[in-house]
Amino acid sequence: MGEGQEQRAVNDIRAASHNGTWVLLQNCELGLGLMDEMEDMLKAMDGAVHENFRLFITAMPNPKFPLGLLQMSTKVTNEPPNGLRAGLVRSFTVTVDQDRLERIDTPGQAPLWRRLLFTLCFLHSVVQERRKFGPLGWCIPYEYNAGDLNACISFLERHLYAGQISWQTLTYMVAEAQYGGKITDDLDRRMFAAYATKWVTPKTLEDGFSFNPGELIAPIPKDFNYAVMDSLDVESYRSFGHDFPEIDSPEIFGLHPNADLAFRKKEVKELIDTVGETQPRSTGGGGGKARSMDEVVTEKCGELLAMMPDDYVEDDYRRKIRKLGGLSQPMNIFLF
Amino acid sequence: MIGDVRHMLQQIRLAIKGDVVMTNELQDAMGDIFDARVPQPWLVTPGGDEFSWLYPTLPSWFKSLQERDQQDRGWLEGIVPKSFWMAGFFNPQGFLTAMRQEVTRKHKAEMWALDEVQYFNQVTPFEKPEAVKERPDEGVYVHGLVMDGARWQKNKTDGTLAESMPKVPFSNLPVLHVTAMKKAGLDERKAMFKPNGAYECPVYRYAARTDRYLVFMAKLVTKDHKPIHWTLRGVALLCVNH
Repeated sequence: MGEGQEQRAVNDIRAASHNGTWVLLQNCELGLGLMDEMEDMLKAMDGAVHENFRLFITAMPNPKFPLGLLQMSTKVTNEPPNGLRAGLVRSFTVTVDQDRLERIDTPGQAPLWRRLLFTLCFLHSVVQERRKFGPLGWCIPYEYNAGDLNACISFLERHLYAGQISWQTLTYMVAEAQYGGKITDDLDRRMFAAYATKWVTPKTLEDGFSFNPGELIAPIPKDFNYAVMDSLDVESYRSFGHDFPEIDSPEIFGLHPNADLAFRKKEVKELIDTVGETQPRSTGGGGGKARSMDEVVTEKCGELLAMMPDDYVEDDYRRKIRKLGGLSQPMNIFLF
Repeated sequence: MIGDVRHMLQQIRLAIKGDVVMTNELQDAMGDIFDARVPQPWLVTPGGDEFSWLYPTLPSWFKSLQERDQQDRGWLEGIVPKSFWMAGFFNPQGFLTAMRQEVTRKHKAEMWALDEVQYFNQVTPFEKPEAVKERPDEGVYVHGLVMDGARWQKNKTDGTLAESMPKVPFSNLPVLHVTAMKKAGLDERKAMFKPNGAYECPVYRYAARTDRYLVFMAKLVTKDHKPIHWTLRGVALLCVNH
């Protein structure tokens, strides 16, 4: 939608409602004007449409999207999948297919290509999923998406066509250029580089390499081994992904098990805040004992006033700072 | 600052009694006080600059105001704190810069220049600031830092970063000695961090980590793990834990 497509959309809807065909309107958050009229338009058509007529509307969440239209529709939402399992399976469905898996088929390079393909997809899930841990995960919650993964894979493909793999180049392109291009915080960049140095190395190609940390603090669910998958069939990557434990251990991200505490606390706080916002402001009337807001605030102000420190008198502190050596002493500026 | 807060508290009381006009500002502040939140004008200036440390609740904010007042008032009276409370400074980055300046001046004779001098730090054996008997020869002792994602384990002579205890995500760092020296001095002290090298640990003002709230990078000894281990753990030091 948008770009003057409104009239076309209206025409198509009218035609389809007679012929009994389907209409799909995409990105409708860009055509909110038409959406506002849609409710009345559909109501006016009620009863006079072909029984096979269907209208599909896709849109990003938008607070201005008309409520009435939402309420009269059947709603389906699509969110990025949660958890490493869902993330990996999605990558091997949306981004990597059988054709891509076979893109590099020289005997010397094919196993390397496949193993790195898996590594990149796994890394992608990990960095995305790490966001749920709040500040412990990333300073800034970046919106990495399939496009970033895609760019890395395409780069790797072209890089391998050109000859021998250069690990330094690959690591740089993944951590600094592709994903790193989105990162605005230096310490987040350091974090991404840490993953790259740990996982995008010649070691990743060795049999028996595992993404599991060397020493575990708590056992990983099902004692699962997050190994590097190598198979000729894309289907086996998907089924390997489906075998991933339902709950991701924070240790697979390199985090301490306590990180789950931070994550749950964050979730609960969001819930409580939402509940809190729905509470009415006034203290319940009944009972007679409930005090009015005025009374409560008056009392609290009194309490705070009694505890207030004395004012700083300018002449007084200037004199005292002079006694301490004056403002030419660098640290004394903090008393000013 | 103190004057502003006092003034507003008095105004609210008068407004409730009906002696002065209830403005929107006072009305909002009343709602905040009722909900135990800190009124906006006490946190940010009308221009949008930070005016005091951000605390989520009124009691914690007020307590920090009192403690900050104590540190400053004592200092004004000539009792220079032996150890400084980091959250007691409106601008802790600036405080450390001033410290660097002071150290540089001390070495005027050796021709130190401010831009060649870098931070250096060491965790002291003092668990609590009260245990500090005197100020360091150079630099400052600071306290009140909280570690997120790991803990500091004291040994007989020194200490090391170690894994958090189960279910204890935050732990207090002992008093930290922060000073400044030239690069040659830093190189000499590299042996301290053997065999793994130092973990460069970001020190933030708040639990929310943005580069705006980054105070400085502390070097921490890590005996059992490589620094990268703590990077992935997301280990950081916080001046206040919220």
